[in-house]
Amino acid sequence: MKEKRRYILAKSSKPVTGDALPAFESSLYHELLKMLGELNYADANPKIIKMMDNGLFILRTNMEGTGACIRALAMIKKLNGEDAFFYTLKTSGTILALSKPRRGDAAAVSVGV
Amino acid sequence: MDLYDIVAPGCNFRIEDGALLGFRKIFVGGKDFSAADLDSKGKRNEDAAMFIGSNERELAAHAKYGKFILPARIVVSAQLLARIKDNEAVLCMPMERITLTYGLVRTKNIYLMKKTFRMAKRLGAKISFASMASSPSSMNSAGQLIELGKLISGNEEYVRRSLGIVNKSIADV
Repeated sequence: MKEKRRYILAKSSKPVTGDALPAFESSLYHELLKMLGELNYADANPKIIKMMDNGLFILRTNMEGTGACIRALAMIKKLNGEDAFFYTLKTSGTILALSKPRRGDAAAVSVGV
Repeated sequence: MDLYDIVAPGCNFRIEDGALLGFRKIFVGGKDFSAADLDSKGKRNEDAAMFIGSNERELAAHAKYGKFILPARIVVSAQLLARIKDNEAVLCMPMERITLTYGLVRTKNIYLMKKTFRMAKRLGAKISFASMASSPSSMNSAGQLIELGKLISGNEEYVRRSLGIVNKSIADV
């Protein structure tokens, strides 16, 4: 059966661009592995699929691991030895829905879809 | 349902970040509500909305209708919880105790908070899940707070009600 995925729109405290991106991804995966443990990491299978301006990025996970990834992102306070923190802004089953404003939202967050 | 967060006195953040994080409003100690530290010597505000302290007898004495009680220790006695429930006060469970700790300390804190939650729920006390962040780096979005609350309580609806109705009541105290 097809795996059910969830997309998490998250914001990093420090914008990441260009050459710093591979190092950021690698260190984020390592931190998530520390928080989730090997078994839960395998269930969640997180992957950054899009990096945007202002520190916004989209993280894809399996449906079972969505809650654990959101908690892990709340708990990560250091990345590569530097202070960092993450906010998860939205979760959705599709990337398109991440860019649509929810009812009552002041403004939509552009994800460039 | 609109969601609200409560942060500690001195937490400076931009107002627009509150909306970005998914909250209708973030109540800041010292600005939107008054907080009193029962452990500090000197004059204290007896009409404060939130009381923070380590002495359970003093906390129990200040557990009046609508007041928020933030014990310094994670595990609290059944007597204090019963007093909080009888006087319709609110027990505050700060999520900073999970997000700002590491390793075994964090896992122990999670275990103790779950234990306290179970006891409080059994006795019927009102519980507030709030970040009680002291800086913008320890603040959480609404989605993160809901997941952290689910980690403690196991029930998303309960956490949403706490973030929506219970947290909002601090403005009315």
